[in-house]
Amino acid sequence: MKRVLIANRAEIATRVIRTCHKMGLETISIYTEDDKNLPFAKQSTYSVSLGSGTVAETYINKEKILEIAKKYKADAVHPGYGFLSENSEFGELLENNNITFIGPKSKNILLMGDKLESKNFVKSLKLPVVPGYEGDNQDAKHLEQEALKIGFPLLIKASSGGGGKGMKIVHSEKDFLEQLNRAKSEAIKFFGNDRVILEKFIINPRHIEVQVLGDGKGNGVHLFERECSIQRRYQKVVEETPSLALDDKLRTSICDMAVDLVKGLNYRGAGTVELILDEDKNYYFLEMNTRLQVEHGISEMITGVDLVEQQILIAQNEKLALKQEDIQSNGHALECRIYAEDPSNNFLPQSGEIKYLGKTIDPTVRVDTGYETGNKVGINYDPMIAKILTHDHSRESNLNKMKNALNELPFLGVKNNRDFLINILDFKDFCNGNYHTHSLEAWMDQLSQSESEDLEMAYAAFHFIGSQNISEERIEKFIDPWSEGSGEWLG
Amino acid sequence: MKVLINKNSYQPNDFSKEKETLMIDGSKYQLIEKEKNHLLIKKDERIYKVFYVFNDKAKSVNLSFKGKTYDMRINDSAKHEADNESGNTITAPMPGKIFKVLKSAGDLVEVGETIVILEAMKMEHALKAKVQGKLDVLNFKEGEQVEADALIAKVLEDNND
Repeated sequence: MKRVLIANRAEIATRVIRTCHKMGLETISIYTEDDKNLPFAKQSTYSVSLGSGTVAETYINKEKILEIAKKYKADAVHPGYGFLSENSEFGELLENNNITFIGPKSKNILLMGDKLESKNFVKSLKLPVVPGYEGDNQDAKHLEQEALKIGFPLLIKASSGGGGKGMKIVHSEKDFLEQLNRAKSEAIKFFGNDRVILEKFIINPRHIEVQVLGDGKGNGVHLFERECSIQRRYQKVVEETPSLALDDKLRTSICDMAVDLVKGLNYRGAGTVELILDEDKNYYFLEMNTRLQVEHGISEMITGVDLVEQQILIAQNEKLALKQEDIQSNGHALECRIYAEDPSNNFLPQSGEIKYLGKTIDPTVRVDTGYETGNKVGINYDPMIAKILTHDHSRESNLNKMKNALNELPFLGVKNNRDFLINILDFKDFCNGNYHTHSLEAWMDQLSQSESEDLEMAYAAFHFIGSQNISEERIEKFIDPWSEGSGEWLG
Repeated sequence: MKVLINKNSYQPNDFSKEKETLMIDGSKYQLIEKEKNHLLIKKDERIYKVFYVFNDKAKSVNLSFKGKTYDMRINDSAKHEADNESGNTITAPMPGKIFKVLKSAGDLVEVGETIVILEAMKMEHALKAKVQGKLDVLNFKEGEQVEADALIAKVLEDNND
């Protein structure tokens, strides 16, 4: 393997280029006209325009990407996350053209991409899944029997449902039949089909996931867990490892389960096994993501393993050189995601120019961003503009380290959630590790209260910025004295 | 100079300036470095790094320090002044507390009659009617906090006089 095409954009493209170059590989980036000024379009060995158009016409246009890969003689394609990373057809298309897909085998992607089939597969390995009933027998008496087996509270969901329609929480046995009738009549109304499934309702769940690697030759390892319970509308905001919810025994048990799954699948590549943990510390398989994950960096920090390098080695058909006993968890790692969004206005996505991104004085802070000062953030792509990662010997010192880093990275010019992230890091229940996936929503009112504004300092700074130039009579309009072509404030 | 900080009007009670040093409400702010996107300001021996950019076609400045972001612009008070010149409105000249309310809505007032007494900077400021007429609007009660430029009262000018 000599040359890798990166079929992605922004921070993850930059991230993959970094490791490719470290390994002595050449890179090809592909970019749309909107993205032509972003760093990833300039950091690669070759840089090829996809022109303009929708995502379907550009970043996920399989034929077009194949054509570029052939033309520029790519030996392999790295899909990053999102876009084509879990598209089994894309992998097959590349392999049929003798180009390596840096990712899992198609059949692994297909199996783990199907909610029901993946759950059945995991069950067949005797690994825990959320207790439930998905059977064909829809007789009310039979469903009630199944409900008793599962226990309460439980969820009744429309089989073909979504968005909470036709979904009922049942707290006790006596309410079951009444709620079943309601769920079925809603299911008929919304989906034209009254088939339901039953599932144990997990109160205050925590989202725990395990980073895994497999080589497709029977070998598999884990790189410990990540906790991603700080979420807003299913979007992860802060991730950390190790999780405060696990003791060593539970950690071993969860991580071993993930490795059992990797071996059971004879999985090839990097992947993430997602689990939910209930209040009684029972854990259940949720799904497996067959790709590199956004938050993979914190696992790299605590283990010292470069996951992209491992992906590339595995894709070159090498045997996994890492042994489980060689992988140690060291200290605490934390990731905060900077989104271009306005926390004071319902987190609406924001666009505009990043006029000053900032830089940290601490060289151990990892800033994974697809942008630099002067770049525009558009509305056509994901609003995540950066991931800030820190690593230290203890969680307590690491939280402070992250606050120092965020303080130096204001991403001025586009409204973003940086201040909001700092408020989370200061929030008592976060500091205590006392949280679950619904916590952030519950904290929202308290987090949004802006406290300890230093108006005097802001006033002083405002004065100094224009102190030679602003006078009471000349303040009506001023322009940036540093911007091109002007050295003066205009009166 | 009045400013808007995150859309709220602000003006220090006490402000003076000498070269690169400002005195704001009793504290000293010293500029020790000024670069394209940051300032270093010293206050009580602590150094504050303040990042800044110009926004909105240079109508505002975004600041960031101690992990907080501020949108700052000059308070465009031209409109208020136009109203003030007409004499009908009475606004708070500075932030403070309503100490006494001497009139009620609907009362007839003479030019120079005190409507409200504002307490600010440990002093009392009488806010007086500038025209003769009927008190149409009275927005605050005793003990309430007001911001600079808040509309306190409005007088319907009596033109028959």
